[in-house]
Amino acid sequence: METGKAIIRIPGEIRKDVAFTIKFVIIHPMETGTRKDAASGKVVAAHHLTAIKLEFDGKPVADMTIGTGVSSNPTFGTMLKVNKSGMLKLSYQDNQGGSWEKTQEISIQAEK
Amino acid sequence: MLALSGWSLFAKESEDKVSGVIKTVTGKNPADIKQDARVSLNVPTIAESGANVPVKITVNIPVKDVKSVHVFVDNNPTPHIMGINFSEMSGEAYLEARVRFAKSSAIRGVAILNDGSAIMDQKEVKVTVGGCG
Amino acid sequence: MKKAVVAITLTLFATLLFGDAAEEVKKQKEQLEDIGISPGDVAIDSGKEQFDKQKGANGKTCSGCHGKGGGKIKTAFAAMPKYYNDARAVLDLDMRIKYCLEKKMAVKNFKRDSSFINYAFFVASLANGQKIRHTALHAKEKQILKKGKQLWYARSGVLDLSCSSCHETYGGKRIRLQELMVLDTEKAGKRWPAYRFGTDATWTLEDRIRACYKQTRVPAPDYHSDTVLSLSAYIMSRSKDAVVAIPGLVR
Repeated sequence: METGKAIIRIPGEIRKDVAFTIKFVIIHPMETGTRKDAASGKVVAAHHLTAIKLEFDGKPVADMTIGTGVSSNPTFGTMLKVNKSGMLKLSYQDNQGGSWEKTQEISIQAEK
Repeated sequence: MLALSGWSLFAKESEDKVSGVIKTVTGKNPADIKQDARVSLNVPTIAESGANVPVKITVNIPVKDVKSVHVFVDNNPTPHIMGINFSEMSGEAYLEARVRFAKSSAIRGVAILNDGSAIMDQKEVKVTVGGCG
Repeated sequence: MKKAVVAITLTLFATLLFGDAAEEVKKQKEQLEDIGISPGDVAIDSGKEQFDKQKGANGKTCSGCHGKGGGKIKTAFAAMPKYYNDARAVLDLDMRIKYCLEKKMAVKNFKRDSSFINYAFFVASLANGQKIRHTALHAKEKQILKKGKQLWYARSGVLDLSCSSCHETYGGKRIRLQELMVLDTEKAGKRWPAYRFGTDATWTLEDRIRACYKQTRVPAPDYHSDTVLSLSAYIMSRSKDAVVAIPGLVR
């Protein structure tokens, strides 16, 4: 799979001012820089995510610093609470200059 | 006998290493970060694969009072696994991730609060060799 | 004598300390399942994009024949492997995709790369919620299934093991800390393609069958070989009525 590809999962029903869980998987080899490639015998260069940022309608929600102890093709989960519909933006970088973004629309269920 | 003393020497080394890392990341001495029931670290006690250990941390304190959460795996070559900074829009102080364990180790979830204090929960994960392959 | 006493004492002590280890070790998989999303889901997502957008050398996409998002082949996976008239052969998921790529989309230099795996995950996931309905009505299907059954029970290699040794006779027993998969109760056919969290790999059933041979010290049969195809068919037939759930999550 393509490095940097991500999928985001949010609940089907999102209510205003009620915290909900957001989970995402990012495809990334998360090479520590200490692993030796079996075929060539050479050490594989460090290639891993370093930072992840979550924003909603341009405002910061959470930001993460990522180290080599995170699994490859990692999954993350955290929570979010919004009071209106809007755009969620996930942006993430790695130590080799890789930089990606993924957006997800958040729609609040109309109040009954 | 020798093996046992070798192990305890190694354990001390790891403890010193992670202590240094915790101090660098949180600004606090690990001895000053107390275990607190409001931090809940959820991990399996035994993992048949160190490559993918599920970790869940919940801090039962309103997120407006929680600055960040950091994960440390004592016996990893790089003990600081990750950190997350929250904002009020986080809703709750919650983090979930799949984490690597180089070997059996203690894992700590440290919450740094906005009043400058730090609390934590700590668990042990035993990493075993898997079944067939 | 003294060594034995020490060993027994330590084991008893360890058991007291760690309780039932085999039960505890299951929690890793349970907690990973609880997360609810895995790299296998990314393969499905990528596969869906490819299905509609990735073109062969002749400009065709999968969706050109099978409908946008695979609308026309929704339950196809639940009946695989089966005899296909155009190929005049029994094909499993991997072989059918390869056939389509090479013969219908004019893909040259076929490689079993991540793009191929994405297709496999996506096509299989279309049948999620369906019951496996494998049948052997065509003469060739019957032949393949018969061979599959023979292979399942055939002991081979230096360890003299057959599939049935672990997954039937000693199924449910432990090897190190893992309980061996019992084919009739777990109906493994429903959960491949799967994400293997032990090695962070996305595998199809063909990968799994080949790896089993390697583990039992038998040279792995080629991808798309009769051996792999036959066992695939047999596993799917014994997984009949199980509900397809892709991506699987296994160690």
